[in-house]
Amino acid sequence: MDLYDAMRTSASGLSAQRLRINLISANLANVHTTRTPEGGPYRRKEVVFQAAGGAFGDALRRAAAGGPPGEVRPLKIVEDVRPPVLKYDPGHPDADENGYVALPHVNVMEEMVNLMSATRSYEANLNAVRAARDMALKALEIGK
Amino acid sequence: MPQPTGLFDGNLALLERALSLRSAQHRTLSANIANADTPHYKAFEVAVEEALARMRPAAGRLALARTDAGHLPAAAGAARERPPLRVAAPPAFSLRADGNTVDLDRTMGALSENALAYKTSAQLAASKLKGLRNVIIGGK
Amino acid sequence: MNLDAIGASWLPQGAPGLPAAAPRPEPAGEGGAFGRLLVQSLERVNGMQREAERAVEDLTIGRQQDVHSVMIAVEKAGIALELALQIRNKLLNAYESLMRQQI
Repeated sequence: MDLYDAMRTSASGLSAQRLRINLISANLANVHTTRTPEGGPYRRKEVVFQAAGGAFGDALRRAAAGGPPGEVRPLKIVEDVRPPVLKYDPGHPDADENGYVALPHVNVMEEMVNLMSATRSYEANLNAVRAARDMALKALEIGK
Repeated sequence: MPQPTGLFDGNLALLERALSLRSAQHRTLSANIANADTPHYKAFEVAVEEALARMRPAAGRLALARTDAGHLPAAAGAARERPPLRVAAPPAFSLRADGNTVDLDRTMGALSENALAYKTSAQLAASKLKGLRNVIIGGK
Repeated sequence: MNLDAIGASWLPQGAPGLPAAAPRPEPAGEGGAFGRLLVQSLERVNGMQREAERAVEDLTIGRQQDVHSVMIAVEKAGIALELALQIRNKLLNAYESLMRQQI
């Protein structure tokens, strides 16, 4: 049934946004982390999503083929590959021989904006679930 | 449009079709919302009004004629046929670089509107059926 | 159900003043045209009941079925059955009052 499928799709959206929020939290928590088990400073993380049902651009073809649920899934978590930010701080325990510290490429303002966006998307998916529930309940009233 | 079959007239068939279309629309819009951050995702939606208008031609209650052999017949089972889809309009100004065309605010608005229209049709169908039942039971 | 046909069939065949209806082929033992119509209508009601049951089954098991379609199908079947019952009651009443009028 369409409404069940819609709820499942919205649930996948909730999971996806929750993962995104978790990664943003990790980024914010590690904004000053200069030492990691893998060596080097913390690397900013980001998730890339993928729509279930194959290629992204041919939405109409996908729908014409019977309409997959349209669920969203995390495709991969991407680590920042840029060279780390170097800051001159000779007193820092992790400063190199020239006195520079390697810091993560985490921009707090950027992460906050992403957090707001992820939260908004999360709530949008939640509203979609509520709407589907209300619609199904209303349809049940057809039999009095 | 299906001919009135005596007791259950064409109005009920129209309401049922509206419910099926809007149910499909909700599913489509939910997929758009879930994929609001998916790169290269193209948003689409169900053309509800167009499909409903085709069921009820403006020139009175005429039977739906097939002008082309490729068109689908207006059979009683038409409620389950695949809904007509179209590409949703992308936001007028988008700063996105990932090819995603979902306009989250507009989609939320469309979702609310669609949900309300669905509930309205469900209510009308319920009232209609209850009225029929009362007429039959009430008359001795 | 075809209400018009039921209405017309209330006229008794061969009543005084009416042209006698041409004899139609009838199933042996049935009550003629009216009987056939009744059987047809009951079969249609039965068909609707079966469809509604199948719809409920599909929804319960999780096969492709919309909740609104199932609810409408169930209601329609219920109304058709209710109508058949009411007509049956009317027929019984008419029969009884007819029987009471016999000399």
